[in-house]
Amino acid sequence: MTVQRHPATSTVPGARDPLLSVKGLSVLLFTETATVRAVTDVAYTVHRGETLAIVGESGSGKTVMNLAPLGLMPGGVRAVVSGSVRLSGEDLTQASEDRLMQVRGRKVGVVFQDPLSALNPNRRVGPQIEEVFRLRLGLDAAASHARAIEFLRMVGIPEPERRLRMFPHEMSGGMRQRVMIAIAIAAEPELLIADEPTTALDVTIQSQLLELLMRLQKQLGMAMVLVTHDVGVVARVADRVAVMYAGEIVELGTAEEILKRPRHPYTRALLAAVPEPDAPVGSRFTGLSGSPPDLSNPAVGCAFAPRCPLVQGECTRATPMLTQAEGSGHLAACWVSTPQVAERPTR
Amino acid sequence: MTLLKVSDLVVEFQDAATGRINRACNQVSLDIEAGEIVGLVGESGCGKSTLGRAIVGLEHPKSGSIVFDGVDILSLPAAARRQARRRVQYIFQDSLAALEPRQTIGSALHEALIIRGERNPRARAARIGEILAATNLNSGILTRRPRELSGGQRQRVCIARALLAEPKLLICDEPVSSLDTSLRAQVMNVFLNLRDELGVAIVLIAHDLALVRQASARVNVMYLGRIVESGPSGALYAQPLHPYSRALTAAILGIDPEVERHREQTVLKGDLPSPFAPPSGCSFRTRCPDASDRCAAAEPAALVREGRSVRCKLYDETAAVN
Repeated sequence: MTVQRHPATSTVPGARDPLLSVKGLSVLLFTETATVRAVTDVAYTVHRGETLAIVGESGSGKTVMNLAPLGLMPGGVRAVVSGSVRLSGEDLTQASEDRLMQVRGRKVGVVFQDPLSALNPNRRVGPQIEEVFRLRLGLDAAASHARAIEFLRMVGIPEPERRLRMFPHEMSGGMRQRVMIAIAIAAEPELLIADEPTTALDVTIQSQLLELLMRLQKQLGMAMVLVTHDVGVVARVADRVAVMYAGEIVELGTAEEILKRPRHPYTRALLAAVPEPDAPVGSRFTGLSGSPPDLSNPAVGCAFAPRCPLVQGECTRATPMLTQAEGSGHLAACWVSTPQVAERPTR
Repeated sequence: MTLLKVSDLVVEFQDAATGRINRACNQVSLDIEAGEIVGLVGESGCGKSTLGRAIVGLEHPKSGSIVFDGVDILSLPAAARRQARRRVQYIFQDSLAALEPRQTIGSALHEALIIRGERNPRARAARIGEILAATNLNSGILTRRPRELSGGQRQRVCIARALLAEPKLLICDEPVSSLDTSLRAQVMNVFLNLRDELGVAIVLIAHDLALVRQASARVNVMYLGRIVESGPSGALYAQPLHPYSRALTAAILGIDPEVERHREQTVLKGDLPSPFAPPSGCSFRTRCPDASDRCAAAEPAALVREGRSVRCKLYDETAAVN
């Protein structure tokens, strides 16, 4: 069996070992009222310079899977993380809170969906960017100010000196998101996690920001994990794609494999739900009936079975494993479309 | 038959602190036939929601007219306006906020009929049964509360409640944008069915351009308070005339990675200008790849031809030549 590696990474020196290697990761969330198994036994890798898109719908666990190992969870929610999340060999699930804070600032940058809540509304934008340089890189005030101007220019903000004196609410949504990106890349991280970075924005601004992210990634040689529900965004930027449903990765492969030759019935449904550019006007829309399962009370078998058009007897008896299709690194967890083999797949 | 005719509608907001005026709808004109779905697209702040809200009476226009079902609404006294607008209903983006959280769905639907004067519980139940069927909902939801439903079910409850008023026109403001992609079809297909089976006309306000194209017979593109282009949706998307429509339709992402990875760079630079200080002349000129000096001089007039309308100097000249 050949070693599964993405072609784009083979040109990067030292790219043999993945930058990020996640194995057997599960996340339990304890809220006031329930215990939710938000992520169940997921495994994936991200190589230097590559973009992995994590696609799934609300509640699929895509955000929790990325943020819980970094110690980033909303207030009032306690997360218990098991498994391993290795970043350049270091297991983040074993790291102290102090160490995680260092990792978040320097090695991993994070861009959230809503920059208005991620920025401090009472402080001007300038000090918020400058403190990244002072605290994380130890620069003095003058050097931090100069760097802030340089980074705002880098993310395409005109008149950066003037913008540094603005409050977040004085900026448009697109510009605020550019500021967030500038803060996330300030320490030139190895990995950028972008969680729905363009979801709240208009299409024209979305396309500007996707281009910006792609350019910065190339310029800084970062790996990127892009969390999104938008299949069009995946097609635009992803090298590889993980599809999540009910806290599990149900399909994993290159963007071509996932988007052009999907195996899992859920992936197929997700793609079919995107309106086609040449569909007859007035024709009916395609989608799924029902809703995702309640993760505080998981059922036996494949989580997608109750909504699946291909469901068979086996599907409600046992959970299918991510299994390799013949002769490719394309994995799918489905009893029907990807017959299960005895051998465990290489991940 | 023209069900709704909006002519030269102006809606303004004043900034209390500076006194500056934002003309959210700037002499907007729009026609809707009975049983027709018409799309309204544009970026946040372009005035599309304000237009929808003005039609249903949630905003107070400064000037212009709204003729619905043959009645010139704005010329009527307030009480008569409400009466004239009874058969226009509004569907909000946030279905959770639109429903009372402690009230069961059944109680909410009965209440809507009681307000309309239906005193007979059996007649109400029968009517609710019909409406649930039209919105593809199961009667099991009647005993539930809004939070116990999925987003798609909840939005269909809002549509069901609106249908109890026997509307001729629904104004739907981003009705599916808070729903997951795979659940949007549940709601969108209800709209298509209502049009086909009950002849309901719909104004579909949305920023998802591909979705609007598939649902709407005609589409209007708004920019800074103006409708800059309108036309049959197939033709408008296949060959957008206004540079802004071109930029919008070019930003629609497909799902083929081999195509999308190599797509052209964005043509449209920058953000929407402040609506309190729009550019002189054509308000799109500051972001327009085809702008020239003459665009700053005067606002382009609408050129109307073959069911399409466009406001742009590029076509002003063609018109003069022809």
